[in-house]
Amino acid sequence: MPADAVVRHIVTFGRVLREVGVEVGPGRVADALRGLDSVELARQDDVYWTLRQTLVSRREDLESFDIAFDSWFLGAAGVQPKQRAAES
Amino acid sequence: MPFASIDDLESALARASYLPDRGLSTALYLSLTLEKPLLLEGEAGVGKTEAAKSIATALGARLIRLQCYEGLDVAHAVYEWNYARQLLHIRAAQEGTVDEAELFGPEFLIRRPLLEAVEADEPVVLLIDEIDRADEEFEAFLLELLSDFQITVPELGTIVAKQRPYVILTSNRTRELHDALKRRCLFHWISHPTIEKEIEIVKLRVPGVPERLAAEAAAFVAELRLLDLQKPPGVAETIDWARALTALGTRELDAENVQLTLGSVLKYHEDLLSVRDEALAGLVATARAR
Repeated sequence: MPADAVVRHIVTFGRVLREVGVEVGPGRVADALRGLDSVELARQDDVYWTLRQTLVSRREDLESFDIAFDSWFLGAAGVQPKQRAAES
Repeated sequence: MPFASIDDLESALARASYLPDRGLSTALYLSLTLEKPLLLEGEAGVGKTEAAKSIATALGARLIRLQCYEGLDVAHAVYEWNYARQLLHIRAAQEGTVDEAELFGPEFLIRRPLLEAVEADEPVVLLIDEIDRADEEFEAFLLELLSDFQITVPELGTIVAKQRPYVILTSNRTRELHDALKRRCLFHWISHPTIEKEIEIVKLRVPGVPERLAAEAAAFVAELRLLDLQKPPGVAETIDWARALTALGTRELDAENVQLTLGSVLKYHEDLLSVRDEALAGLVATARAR
């Protein structure tokens, strides 16, 4: 996936998180992008942990994060096929 | 960056006899790569402190630990002047005059963990353990330190770290930390390991443990963690227990040997009382059936 597509993807995911009540500052999105740069994007668990550890800072938010991650990246609900294809 | 990949870091930790799950290895790897402190939270006994010790071993770095407690202040965390020595020095020099600058020289300074970490010439892992126990003022001080890694001793001037220590903070969540501090850190919540992982850990840490015993002990402890206990057992307890059972020549769990050795798993009398007789037999059966 080209770099700017990843950026757009993560910035939008940051918005999805805010919608489910997880406060994500711009600094954190930058950390997430730098983090993704250094891990294997093909490994879904590495992507999951990288996003969780950079974007979430409170235990209370973990559940909301999981819901958002599942729906956004794994297409559990409401994700268009195109985005899913981009992820795999 | 000392590790080329997460896998690479995992192998280095395994050589230090520590088996992290993928989440923890990712957290350690990212905090080293992004050069951000790592905040580890989780139940007591999930291995937060152990993680910091093991990454220090894997990095070949010196571990400097600051144990936090209520009332921890700069004198105990950063530095203080050795008044006793200063006094002796003044007495010894009573005939002549004592230069004040001499009295506040480096040889009269008692270095506490944070100053030690900043002054260190070699690579350092700085473990700030149980930060939630320290007061909020101390947290504010720490926040400043983590942003510029310099310490000012008025009599000596400002000491700037030659290299940034790698910082790991742990919290048991007895209180919520400041957002500002959290923003500075990567955050990882450590859960108890899966049964499979715990079996692996027991086999690594308890040489000679029978395969079946390792599996049953891990499954039994996992059952215990589901109960409403005062102090749910951590991995360290599983290891101690497996070690004790192995030393007794146990090959598999039964109600009798569990009853005899349960004291190395449950540390509170109330907990021991709630797991006995039928409850205990039931848990043994479940662990063996797995």
